[in-house]
Amino acid sequence: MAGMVRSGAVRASILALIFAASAAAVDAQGGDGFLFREPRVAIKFETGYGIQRAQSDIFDFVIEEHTLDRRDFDSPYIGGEVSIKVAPRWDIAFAAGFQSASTLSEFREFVDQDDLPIEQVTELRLIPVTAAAKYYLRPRGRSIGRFAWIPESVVPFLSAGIGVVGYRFEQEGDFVDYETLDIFYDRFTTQKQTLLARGGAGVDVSIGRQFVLTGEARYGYARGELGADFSGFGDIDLDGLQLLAGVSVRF
Amino acid sequence: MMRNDSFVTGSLTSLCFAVALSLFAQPLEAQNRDMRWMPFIGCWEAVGADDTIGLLCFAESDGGVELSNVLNGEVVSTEILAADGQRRSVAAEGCDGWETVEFSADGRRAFTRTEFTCAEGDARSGTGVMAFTSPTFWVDVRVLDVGGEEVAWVQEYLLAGADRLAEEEIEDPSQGLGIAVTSGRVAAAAPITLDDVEEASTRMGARAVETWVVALGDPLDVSAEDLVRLDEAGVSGRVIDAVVAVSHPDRFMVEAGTTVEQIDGAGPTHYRGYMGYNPWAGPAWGYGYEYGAFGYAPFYRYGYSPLRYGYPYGYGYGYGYYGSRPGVVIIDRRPRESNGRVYAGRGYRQGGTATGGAARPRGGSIPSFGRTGSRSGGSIAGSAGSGSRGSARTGRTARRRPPGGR
Repeated sequence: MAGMVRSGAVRASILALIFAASAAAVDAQGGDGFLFREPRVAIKFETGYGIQRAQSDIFDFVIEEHTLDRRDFDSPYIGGEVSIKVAPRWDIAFAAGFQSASTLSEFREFVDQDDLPIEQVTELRLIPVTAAAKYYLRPRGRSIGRFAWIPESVVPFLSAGIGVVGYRFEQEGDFVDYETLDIFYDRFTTQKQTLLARGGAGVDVSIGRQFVLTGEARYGYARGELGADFSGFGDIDLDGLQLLAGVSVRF
Repeated sequence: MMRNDSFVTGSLTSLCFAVALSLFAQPLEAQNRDMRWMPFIGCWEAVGADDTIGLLCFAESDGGVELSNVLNGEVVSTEILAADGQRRSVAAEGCDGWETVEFSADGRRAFTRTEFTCAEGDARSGTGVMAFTSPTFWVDVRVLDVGGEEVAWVQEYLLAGADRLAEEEIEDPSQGLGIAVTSGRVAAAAPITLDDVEEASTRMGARAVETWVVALGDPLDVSAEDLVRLDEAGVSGRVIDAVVAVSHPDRFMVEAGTTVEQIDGAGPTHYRGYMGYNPWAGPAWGYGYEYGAFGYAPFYRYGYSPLRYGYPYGYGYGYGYYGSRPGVVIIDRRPRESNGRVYAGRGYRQGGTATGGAARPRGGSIPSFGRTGSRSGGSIAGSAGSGSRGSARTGRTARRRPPGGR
């Protein structure tokens, strides 16, 4: 558990460092409130919360057997996005992120010999990697002369894309053998990748000449197979809504 | 001590402004004296011009100034200039037309407007400005529409010192005017503002404004809102480019003018306001990024003027301005990795903010406007600007090897 936390912190730190380095690189690329050229690339650091639909039978099962709720599979999200301008109102955005929900639970129907709970940790980890087209509903800025580009303060956008989501569904801890009622320690894991489709809408708010604050709602659709540890279950429902806020630097 | 110095300097500047403003505020006094001409009163050397050219002297006159060309103690020509916006007939090199002179609203610079019709029936219209770059320098920017192409011409003038006046055996026209002239020059040389640029854009063509902005090189501390305001006021994109460029010398290379070496062999034609080098050099010099000047004689469509080949010519209508340069403004992004540069035919230039790096009164953006004249070298104060990028300056200065030294 501590290892996962450290791993997440390391990823966040790396993203933050990349973002900070990008910001430093573009310093002095403009004047007061304007850039010397229309930006072609934006690098975004984003964070938010992922709300999972969690409607497939594997979720039904674990919720029924353990002290879990569907909202226990929601989790914070951190990620990054690189957008490349391909037309005045169009960007191609490459995004990658990470979200992991890890919840301590116990069996609803069973307890240990001394009435202690039989505990386990259930984790759902998602790593989406996508390419999306973003369409801005308004011009992102205006050019004045050859050397000045002034950003618009608020620009809404729509996005749609596809990609791959790496997922891991795991339960680790003490379990009850339903035939013998033996309590045993185990770890049941599925770790795979599957296709992901996503669509979203958001708004960019310029902060000065080179930074943009973004709010976005993004819905992802994905179904994935479960591995041999979860026998007889249908595909796992990986759909989810992400509510994100991000800061990007453009250059 | 430093604080005291700053205080004294600031107070003096403020005093000059106050005095000058009071003068500019009343262009016409009881004696019909136009005080806005005060900064110009005196004699001026055309920077980069030949020693035989003489001086251009402004003296007070009824309602304007008397402009004289003095050579070897003799007044070669004179003319009255009045900034009344009225058309005055002028003629030069077989072309007839008119000229108007008007001061800016703050009285710190004079705008000119001209139109000529030449023998072949072609019209030549132009606009320009006479503006101070420092209390001892002013620059004359002229842009002429030649066959649909705007050609800029620039001449810088340096205040002639007492020695030079003695050499020419003439009396200083500013004698006795004291603080009115001095404070007027200080005020006229104050850095320009965006309001000035906006006003100039209503008085001159875009190319003239652009050349003037680059010639002065004043950083304008421009913001996005300012740019929008300029754009919506109809200020040309190329003028806005110049404003952005001079305001960010660490990011843009701004070059203007050309050098004597590049137009070697071409003699100056000179008549006030429409000066230029003989044109046969054509596009061999002066071309630039996106646009550039070509070697036109302003009154002729093509780059050749058979009457003016290789010797000083002019006095077309009375007197001459000498040593002018065709003005070329080249603005481009400063390469991030590059420091100095080597220019074909012009040699090395160090990196940093100012192209050319020669010391100049302010701004540092026009290394080539008349900076090659022997008289201009040692008397110009100021710096070439400051930038964090570019070649490291050693503080040492090269000098020419003595003859026979190697």
